Amino acid sequence: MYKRAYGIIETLAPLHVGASAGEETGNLNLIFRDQFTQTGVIPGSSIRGRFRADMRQDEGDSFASRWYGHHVVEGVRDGGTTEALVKFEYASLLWLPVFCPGQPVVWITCPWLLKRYQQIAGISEPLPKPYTAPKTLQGRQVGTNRKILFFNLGFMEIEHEADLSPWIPAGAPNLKSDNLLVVADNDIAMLHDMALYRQSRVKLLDEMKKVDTDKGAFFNVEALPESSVMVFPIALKETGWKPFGDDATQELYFGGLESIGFGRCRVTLAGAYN
Amino acid sequence: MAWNSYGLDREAQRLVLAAKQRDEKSLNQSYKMRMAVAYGLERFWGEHLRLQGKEQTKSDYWKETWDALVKVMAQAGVTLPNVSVRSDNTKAIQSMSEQLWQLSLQDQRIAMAVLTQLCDCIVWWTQRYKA
Repeated sequence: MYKRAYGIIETLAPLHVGASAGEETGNLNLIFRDQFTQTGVIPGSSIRGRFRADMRQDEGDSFASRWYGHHVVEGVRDGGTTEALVKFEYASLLWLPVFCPGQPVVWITCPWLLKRYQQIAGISEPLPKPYTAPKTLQGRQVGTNRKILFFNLGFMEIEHEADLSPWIPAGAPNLKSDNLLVVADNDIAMLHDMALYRQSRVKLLDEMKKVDTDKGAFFNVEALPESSVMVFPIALKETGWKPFGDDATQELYFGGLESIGFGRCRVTLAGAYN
Repeated sequence: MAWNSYGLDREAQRLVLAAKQRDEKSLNQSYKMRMAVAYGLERFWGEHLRLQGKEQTKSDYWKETWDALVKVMAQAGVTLPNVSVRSDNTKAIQSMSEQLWQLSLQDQRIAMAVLTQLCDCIVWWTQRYKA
């Protein structure tokens, strides 16, 4: 049997995992997304690549190959590859911070994303309904029993009140239990687009602070904002996997655009991982 | 319906097309509107008075945009003042300004965020329709 573990990622900087170059051929620097909720993901291969590269650097190639599988060797039968002892799945969003005018940042999620976390982390709590928020969420009281939350593209009516703190994973210390909101599966894509870190940037000439018009001066970036919380499952064939030594938490870099300040994350492992 | 869109893009397109029909030159106000938002609701609202009579089509553009914001915010239950004022009526200006300053801080912030977004949409549509 495989040992089940999982990882929680909290972004400490904007995170861009997607195809990063080639705007002139139609790529707009878009991040990878989940096909159902249209929210940002980190593919399992990217997570694996980061863990593998860090282990290779610290403990050498043969050690890394044992855990993460041997790479292809030319001339050897079947390429000489081996099965990895540790397997990663993609990381999906769990909580995403959104700007709300007139009040603190609110972290949103939806039942679909919560269900995945529920399965990964083995949570027995029933799934909250869409439009659920804790009683303590700041919002505008309308009439006797209704509460409204404003965003910059629309507003939302809170329909249910519940304590959502069981859905805050260890490894996400920035999350505040007062500022959580579950929206509907149909709303999350639009709210996600509203919440993304987006910028138009320019490439400058090497010797001059002038826009490099020859090399396609403008490019757009899209990234998950900092303080986003993601979750990914891990399966282990053997015990003894200690990617962070004796700690459960370490800072890792994921995705591209590190050079412009993206990708720093705090990863916390949980479950039977060592 | 738990999620309600303000429908800002549609509103913005309507405003831009109306301004273009009145006076193509008034479209340049779009960028000025976007910049003025940062200085607060009072300045944004007051700008149509400065242009009143002198450059009436530009004044109309500012006022129509304010009217649109008032309409949008009303859907969400935020009431913004919108009194018809002439630039030579100091008392009326004073009274309208006071109503604006009296808005709660939260309402001001919400209105500013929505107005920022509306102006972003207006600038986008202006780019599309400018000759």
